[in-house]
Amino acid sequence: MLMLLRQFVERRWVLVLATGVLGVRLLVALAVVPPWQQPDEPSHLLFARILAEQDTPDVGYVLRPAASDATDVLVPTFLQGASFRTRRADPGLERELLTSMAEHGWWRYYGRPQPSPLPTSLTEAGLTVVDSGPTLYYVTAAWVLRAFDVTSLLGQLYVLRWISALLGIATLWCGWAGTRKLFGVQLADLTALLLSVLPQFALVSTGVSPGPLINLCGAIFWWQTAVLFTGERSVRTVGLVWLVALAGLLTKRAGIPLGVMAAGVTVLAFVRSWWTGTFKVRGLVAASAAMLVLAVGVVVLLPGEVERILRTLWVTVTSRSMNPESASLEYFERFTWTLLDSAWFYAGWMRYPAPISWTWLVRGLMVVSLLGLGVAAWRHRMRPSLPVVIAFGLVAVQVASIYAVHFRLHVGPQGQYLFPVLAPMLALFWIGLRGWWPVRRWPVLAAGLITTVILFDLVGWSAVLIPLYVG
Amino acid sequence: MSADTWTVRRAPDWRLLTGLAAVLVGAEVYLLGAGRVQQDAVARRPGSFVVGEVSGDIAISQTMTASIVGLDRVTLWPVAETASEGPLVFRLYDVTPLGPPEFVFGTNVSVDHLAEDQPLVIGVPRLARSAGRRYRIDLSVPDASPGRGLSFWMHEGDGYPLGELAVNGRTQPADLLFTLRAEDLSAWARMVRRLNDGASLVPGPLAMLVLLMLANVCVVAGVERMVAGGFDAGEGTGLSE
Repeated sequence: MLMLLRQFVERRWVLVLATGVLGVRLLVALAVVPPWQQPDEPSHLLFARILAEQDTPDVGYVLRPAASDATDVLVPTFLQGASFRTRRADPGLERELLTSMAEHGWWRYYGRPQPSPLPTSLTEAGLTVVDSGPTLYYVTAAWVLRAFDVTSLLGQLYVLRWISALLGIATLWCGWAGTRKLFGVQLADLTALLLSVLPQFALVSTGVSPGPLINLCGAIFWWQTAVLFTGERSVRTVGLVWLVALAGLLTKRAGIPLGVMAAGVTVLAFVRSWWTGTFKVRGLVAASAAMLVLAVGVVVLLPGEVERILRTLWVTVTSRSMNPESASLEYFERFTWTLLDSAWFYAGWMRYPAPISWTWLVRGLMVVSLLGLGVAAWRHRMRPSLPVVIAFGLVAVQVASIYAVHFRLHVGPQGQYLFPVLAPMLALFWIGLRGWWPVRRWPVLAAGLITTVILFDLVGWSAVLIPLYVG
Repeated sequence: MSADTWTVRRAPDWRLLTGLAAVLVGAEVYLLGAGRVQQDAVARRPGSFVVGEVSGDIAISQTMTASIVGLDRVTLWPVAETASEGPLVFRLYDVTPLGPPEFVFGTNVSVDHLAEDQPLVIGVPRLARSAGRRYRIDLSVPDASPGRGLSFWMHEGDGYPLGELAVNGRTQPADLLFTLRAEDLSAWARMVRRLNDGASLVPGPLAMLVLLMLANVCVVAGVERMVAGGFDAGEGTGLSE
């Protein structure tokens, strides 16, 4: 056992060390960010808690009027053990939540005067109530709260924050595994270290929200895609790719791009196997059968979710309307910079950015990296290697989906929308940066890059987050 | 070459590692240890103006929400056309919602020697738990006759949503210029305070300090391993193309 552990760690030393770094930073984030300050934390916890406290099984599901105080949603049988109706809102719980929000200065951090008397519902306080079904995240969160028998409000909040932190660490590991498969261990080590000191990743990975689960789905997807193009068991791997894409789809609408990526990766894998002469009809049949079974199973078990996903996709693809406010170059620039800036550091629901000099520094690095990718492509006579094509393709799908939805509908961008493809993004970021330098300079460049991001992280915590959140 | 194959490890570059460790420790000591100003303010801007006169029965009050801990000074910007008659009566109340208003501190400040644009700094007993609380300051010069009172710098608009100005109880679309100050506090001192309250289910200050040191060691060791592992120009090492 010890031998196995030693062998495991020896081959993954940098990953283990990066895990240590990320672990400490997650602890700091858990300590510093006050309760309810992560984006929409009250809404996410409310829905998970309602599901956890629901104890009136009712197979005879009857929809109440939409205007009712307690809107019903159907919890899938296979996830809950029994179908029963549950509510989306609970006035008693909301009052308790709002009192806790007031105790922890929620309005002050949002730059608003605390109302007196307090609002009676989250909607009245300007927060949205979760409008999706009881997706994978909420059902799992509710199960965790029940399993650990956590009943106090803050106890539930911190248990779910800790779960998010664990998902963040798993994301690091899966991201590393995928990058190692495609790009080799050195690049994987470097991206693992970068990810472990990226401030926004630590912030996002300590909030109660479906985001960390989507990020993990994205990282597993990246890993399995890498396995698909480097390994032998392609049918099994295609199945896993689709399974994890499905988990993403059933977690949040933000997981829909994973479905598009899964389709693209499957087609690419078939084309490649045809091209290299390794294509097997038996494999195609087996993969198609597995996917058909999976698809039928999902449609039968979760008809509502499938309809929701298809409706979102249909509206996105067919709607040609664009919010008039989005149709300007100025907004395009603002949207793009905000999206990129907030992938590095932007605290408090996009209210507290990094110091401006540091913001410009990372913007400069991103521009240099993007141009460096062009330089590297030119050096390779515009024939980049397959790993670069795969990484670029996944990032392109994610970015395209953000612009197709958020930009077009004039919804504020958030860098965390890029996090499902964080591992390939960081790999491309490094490849772009090193494109300007000879190979012998790469070690110094890598050390310099990590040092710069660490300093950026330190400045973010010491100059913005701690003074803001710890009076 | 397979992606799992290790390239030949180079000897550690000690200059690089020492430099990295020095930069890390130096930056942490400076960034976490240096005192940072604690203040909340409605600052003077191009649109700020002097208005009204506080004298006799006319009193003004300004509410404000403190984000700082250990509030011990309030600064105002009064203006007197002529020497003011009588002292400025200053009263500070805690008007945090969910509780009754509470008198905190009061003083009479002599303002007969005010120079132009001179801020008036009023010391208050240190309020250890001021962060997040809402305060109201009441200002009056009851002994002054009209023309011998005080005016104050203000700023019109909704620039400060965390409080409001009222004249004789009537809310105005403006705010007094003010600063709430507390002694400078380092990021680490703030962290210690947060870790000691035990609300966030994380280790205490000493354990966290040890963990931070360990994280530094992990970073330096991680960079050393990565650099010593060597880099090659190949990108698709795992692919059999």
